Amino acid sequence: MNEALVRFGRFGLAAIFGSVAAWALMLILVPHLMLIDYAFHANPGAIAKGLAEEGPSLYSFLPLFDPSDALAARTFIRTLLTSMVITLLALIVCYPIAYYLAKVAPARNLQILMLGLLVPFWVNEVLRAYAWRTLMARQGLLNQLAIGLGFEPVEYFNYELPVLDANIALFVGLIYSYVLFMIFPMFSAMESLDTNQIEAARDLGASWVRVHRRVVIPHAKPGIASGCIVTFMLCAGSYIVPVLLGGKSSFWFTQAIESQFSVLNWNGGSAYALVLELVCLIFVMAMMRFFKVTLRDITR
Amino acid sequence: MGVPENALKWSVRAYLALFMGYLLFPLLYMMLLAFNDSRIPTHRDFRFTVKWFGAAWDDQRMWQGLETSFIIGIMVVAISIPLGLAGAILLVRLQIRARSLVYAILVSPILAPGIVLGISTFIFWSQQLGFRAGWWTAALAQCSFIAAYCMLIFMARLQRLDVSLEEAALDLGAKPRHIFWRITVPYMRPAFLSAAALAFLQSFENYTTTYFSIGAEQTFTIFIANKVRQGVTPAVNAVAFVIIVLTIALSIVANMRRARQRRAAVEPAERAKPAPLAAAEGLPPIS
Repeated sequence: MNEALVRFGRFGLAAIFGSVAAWALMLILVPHLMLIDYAFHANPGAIAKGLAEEGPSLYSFLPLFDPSDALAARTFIRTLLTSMVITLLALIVCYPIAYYLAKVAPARNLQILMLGLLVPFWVNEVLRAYAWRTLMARQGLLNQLAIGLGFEPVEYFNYELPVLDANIALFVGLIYSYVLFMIFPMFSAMESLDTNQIEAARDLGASWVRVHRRVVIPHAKPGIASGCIVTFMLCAGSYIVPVLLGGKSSFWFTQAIESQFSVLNWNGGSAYALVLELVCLIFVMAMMRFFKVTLRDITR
Repeated sequence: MGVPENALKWSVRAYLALFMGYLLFPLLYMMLLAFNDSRIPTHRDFRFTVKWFGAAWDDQRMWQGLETSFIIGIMVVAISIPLGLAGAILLVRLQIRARSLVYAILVSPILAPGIVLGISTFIFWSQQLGFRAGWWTAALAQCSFIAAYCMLIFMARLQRLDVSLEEAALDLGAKPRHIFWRITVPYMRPAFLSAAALAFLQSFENYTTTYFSIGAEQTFTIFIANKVRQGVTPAVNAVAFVIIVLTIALSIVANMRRARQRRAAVEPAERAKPAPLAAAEGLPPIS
């Protein structure tokens, strides 16, 4: 520490520690503790009506476990399942693309391809969802094409997907909005792989499947983990995409949070938000465990 | 030997073309609809017009939203850069014991859903401390994760700073503040630029965190979302058209700048240093 004092000076050290402490406390830790505190108290309205007690309670979490009205629980499960399916789908779709960009594409093509990926990446999620809203509307291109070909128009906003219990418009919009967050981490992880290793494996007679399983995937693990985490987190935490594309039956968990806030039930909203965060935390931990990577690997 | 190479190559190309089409077509369609003279956004009965650009231009609330977005963006840059730099110096240069814990705390907002950041900031600053929800609360909520992005950028650059430069300056009697302003800051300049650009753009386009922490105010992004929710005219498409054109222009400029920097950074270094033996023989260097 003495060395640091000489190097940064008293004022410098105070500034460094002070800023980081203020950042960690005022922007991250205390707001979070507050959120937890709100979540574990009943809202004043319920207390006034005598439905809940004054002190710490689980009252705000109860709607999630209410068997007579399964709306909140169903919303929660829909959000979770759909987000997992979308993450998996994005992984499958993006893996070949990331590999092609990192290891196969000639440098000249790469520039233009990257531009083609970066532009939709930088376009706002609101506009991305809006683009699909117009495409899938009754007057939109997809339905007009279907009618032109003699098919019935599809009610994309009400057409339920089997199993997932979410409508197809929402599903398409979510995957479109977040698919790119899978490509870039995988791309940069694969880019750092020495191409000689792939060629050596090929020369020694390994099939392409084997090359990917034994050389590319082990090397790209941090990128894959980070892509999955970000995609899942953005998807489960998405608010505007479900608002713009979800039908009446495809309520998203973030909308459940919002509906608590819109009736000024801060406690209920905090409880739901905490549950969402917990799910994301579990997902992050599971991914880190599964791919055997550290936090530093995935945020790189 | 399984699939012939040629078929593989073509199927990869077809797949790539399909994927790029999937990514870009919705945006092109959205841009095209800005020019149709129809009250709802559709391609049917296409009659060319530019009147929607005028309609978008005349919308007072859009300009207010833009102003709010700019102010919040500048606040976010002004807060995130010093915080990110302090965090980077702490984690890279000071050997503190709780380093990985501090790192985990500081980057955790990147991995948390935006809605949680917005709500916790709102609850703490507005409900608990009594600040009116608005520009400040929105800026603070955004800073909680944008400062972490800035920190990661600074850390990457700081790790490559040659410590012997600072040691030499110390030996020659420089004060810490001299080292900071004469060595650290000039060396970090490119990182400052990219962190500031990233912070501003992230702030500008953020929806969820902002929406849940800003109260009744409206940023540009919230304005667009509200427009879309209320049922739209193609004026929204006109705005989208302008945004996408600007995005393309910015991406091209940024790409060109990065390519030029890379060339400038690589060439003198390569000329100065003799190639290491391993590289000369085509072997991976042992480190």
